[in-house]
Amino acid sequence: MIRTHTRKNIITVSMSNVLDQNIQNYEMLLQDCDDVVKRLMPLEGDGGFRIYISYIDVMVDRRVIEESLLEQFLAYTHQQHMQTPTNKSFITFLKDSGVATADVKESDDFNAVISAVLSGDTILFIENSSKALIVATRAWPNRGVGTTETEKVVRGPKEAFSETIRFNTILIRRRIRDTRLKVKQKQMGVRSKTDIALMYMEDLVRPDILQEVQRRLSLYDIDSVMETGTIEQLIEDKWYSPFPQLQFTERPDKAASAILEGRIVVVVDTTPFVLILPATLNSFLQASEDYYNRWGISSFIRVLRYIAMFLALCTPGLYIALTTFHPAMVPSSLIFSIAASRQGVPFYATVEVILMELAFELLREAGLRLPTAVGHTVGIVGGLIIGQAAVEANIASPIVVIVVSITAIASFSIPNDSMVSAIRLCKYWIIFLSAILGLYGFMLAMLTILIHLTGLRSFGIPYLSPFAFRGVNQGEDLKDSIVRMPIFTMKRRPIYSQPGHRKRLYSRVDTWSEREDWDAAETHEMEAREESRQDD
Amino acid sequence: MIENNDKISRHQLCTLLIINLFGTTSLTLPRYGAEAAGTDGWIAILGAVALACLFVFVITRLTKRFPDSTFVEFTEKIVTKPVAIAISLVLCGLLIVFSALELRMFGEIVKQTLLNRTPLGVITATMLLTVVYSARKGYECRARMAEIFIFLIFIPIIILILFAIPQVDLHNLGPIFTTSPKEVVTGSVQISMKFSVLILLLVGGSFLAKDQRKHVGRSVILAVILVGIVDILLFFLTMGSFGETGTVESLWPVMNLMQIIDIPILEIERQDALMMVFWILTEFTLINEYVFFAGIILQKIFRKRSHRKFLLPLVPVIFILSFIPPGVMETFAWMDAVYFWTGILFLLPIPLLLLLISKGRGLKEDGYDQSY
Repeated sequence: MIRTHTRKNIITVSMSNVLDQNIQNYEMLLQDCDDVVKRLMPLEGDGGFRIYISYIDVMVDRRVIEESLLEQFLAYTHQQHMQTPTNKSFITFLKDSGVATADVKESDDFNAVISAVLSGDTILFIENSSKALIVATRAWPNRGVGTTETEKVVRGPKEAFSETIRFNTILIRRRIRDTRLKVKQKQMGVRSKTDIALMYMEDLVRPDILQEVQRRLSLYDIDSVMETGTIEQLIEDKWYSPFPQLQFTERPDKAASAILEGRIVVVVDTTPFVLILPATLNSFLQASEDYYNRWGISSFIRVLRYIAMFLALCTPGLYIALTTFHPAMVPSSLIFSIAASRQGVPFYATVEVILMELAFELLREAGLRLPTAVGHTVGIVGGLIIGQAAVEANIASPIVVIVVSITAIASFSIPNDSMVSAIRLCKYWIIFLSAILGLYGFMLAMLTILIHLTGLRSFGIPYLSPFAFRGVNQGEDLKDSIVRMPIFTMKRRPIYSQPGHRKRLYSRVDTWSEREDWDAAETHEMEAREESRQDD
Repeated sequence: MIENNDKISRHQLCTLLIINLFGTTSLTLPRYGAEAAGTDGWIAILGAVALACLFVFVITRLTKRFPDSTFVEFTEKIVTKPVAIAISLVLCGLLIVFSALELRMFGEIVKQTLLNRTPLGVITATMLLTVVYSARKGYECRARMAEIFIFLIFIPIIILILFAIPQVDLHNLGPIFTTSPKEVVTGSVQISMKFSVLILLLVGGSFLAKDQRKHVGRSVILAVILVGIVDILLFFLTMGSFGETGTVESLWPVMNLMQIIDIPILEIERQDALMMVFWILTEFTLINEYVFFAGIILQKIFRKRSHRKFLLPLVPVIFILSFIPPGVMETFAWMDAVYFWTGILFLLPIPLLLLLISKGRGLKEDGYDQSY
């Protein structure tokens, strides 16, 4: 077989002046591709031109092809009185007035032609021309704009990204109508040729981070990109860290507000999740609803979430350390009831906790993959039957069931799934050290995690900022961390944005007290207006 | 991108210093104060803090003349290279001994309060490895960690201390001004040696970011004074609770203080273990500081690009050294001796000498700013 592709999947065939040659090459490349529609159309003009049209069925919008291409051709062939066009003017004619759609390109690159067909465009080869016309007719099968499934909110937009890149970029564009919102598109995946788009605000993004993202993206020639996760794992800073260094979301409002913070959003075709980078520990605990609700409740929930993170990470380890090594550190009445409830349980507390934790992980995994209807059954079987039966059969003590449930519930209240995964993994490290060295081991485990976190960066941004990087950005980032201060106080963009472009809120009231006196200010303004009117 | 350039801010430097000073002084200082001057111990501590401020003044004056060099490099410029290397090696050796003794002490305290049946070696080895892991990450990461620790250490400990107030018997605090001034002054000098961590400023000064170099001395002195205030408070609390004899006889009077307090809501019997949990962080930062700077000095002596390769070889050395003292009492005695000699050599005389010579010879680097 003739070698038609290079290692990097570039087609070595070039365009020719002769239509038959082009057709032959084209059909050789697309041999046995029965989903491609190929048709040679003789146009019954005086010159008897032939054009060759090809597209992939269902990937194209048939109406566009029929109305703006075929009908035009037919009309053209019936215009017998028209002068015979030369080849050159024929292609111009087609481009300028023969095709009733705006998005038409000429191309003399076979690669571009093939990739256009494979992306759902329609191509036309024309007699005696080394150029082909590419007509944008893409209409990929899609499921429209759906509702969010992983990041639900009570208040806030419900639409979610979908599998079509154009929908996704538009969902963001709709929220930021600014020419400085840039959408830089490229293809990734040697074989999959997946479209990916970098979206950012030109003036807010840190140029160094943008450059670094582009550099890292250009480092790999990978077969295919099926999901943002592939890209995430290729471009993250530290592969061995359990902590996610890029954030994913399926909410357009979250992506848009991230872009307005100066972050970069990577949209990938064929997946409803987009990547946000850089990401910090703090950003994983921010949910978009925090900004829609009033600040009091938002702050309360933030604090709760941080506590939840601590609980999800530490409860099992702490339980083991306290009950097996330092019972004196537990209030005495509680330790007695724990001891009583453990009576008859044949395992060490450590084994018991690990068993129950693993049982829970199993339940979680089972519930995740099963269809919804059966999923509920898993909940009932796992939660009620196993939970209660294990206690009654003396395999686990009730207190361990409580510990495991606290861990589980706490982990559910963290808004980002990849952060939950990180915490799930670290939890076992803490259990391990606590089981060996008690509270001291617990502290050691926390220390190692903390040391790891202090050294971690996401595209140069310290992972623990703003907690351990407080001087930066005038300390403004702390206003959106463990608590969420009122919107009118958050006047500066966070550290992700370019220095010098950080102001995001100008207010006409300067102080809190002035704001308190909102009504008075308004009345005052109205009086002033009245006076000036009377003066006129 | 924000590079990992191992530059820290003034604020971070002070945070690290506060944690370290607190770690070396607070647990035992009430005992030293009481030993030196009885009920007037707080005056001795006050004097020691004043002396410490003097040390800081001299050391920062010196390091500010050479903002981009560490101790090894600027000593080489001031006195000759062999002398500089000799002094640096002594300093490095002292740091290694410090870390070994501190590690031993840490192991003993943990063994006593938390893990009675665990072998000492397990505790010290795990701690040492964690310390080296952190030291490998560089100054910047350590500084960031300190910024988080400062809350984890001070808030719980201060809350615990507040619960100790009801135990204070005011009669134990008097009479004051009964000790002779001479005793108080000697006590001050002795106690001021416990502030030996300050010598690390000799090496640490060069890690300050360029825009952070103004008023370093002032900030560091504030940090020292802050720790001094906490120390004096702790002195009053322990003296008030145990009286003079009780404070003198206890190895770690503050630990004993924790044992006798009552926390109203939590009905637990081992508050000292609870304090120990937070204490681990302080000790960790302290040992980490010694090991890290030992690595840095070695790096500068051998002119390597990174301090990392010196850290792992230090592990067996420190580990074995930590087993040499036969018991807790000996560890204490040795530690006092090392503190004393470090203090005598490096806290005032050497920096002062270097400062005078460099002033006399007009040596300074670009970027020297006069602000204090």
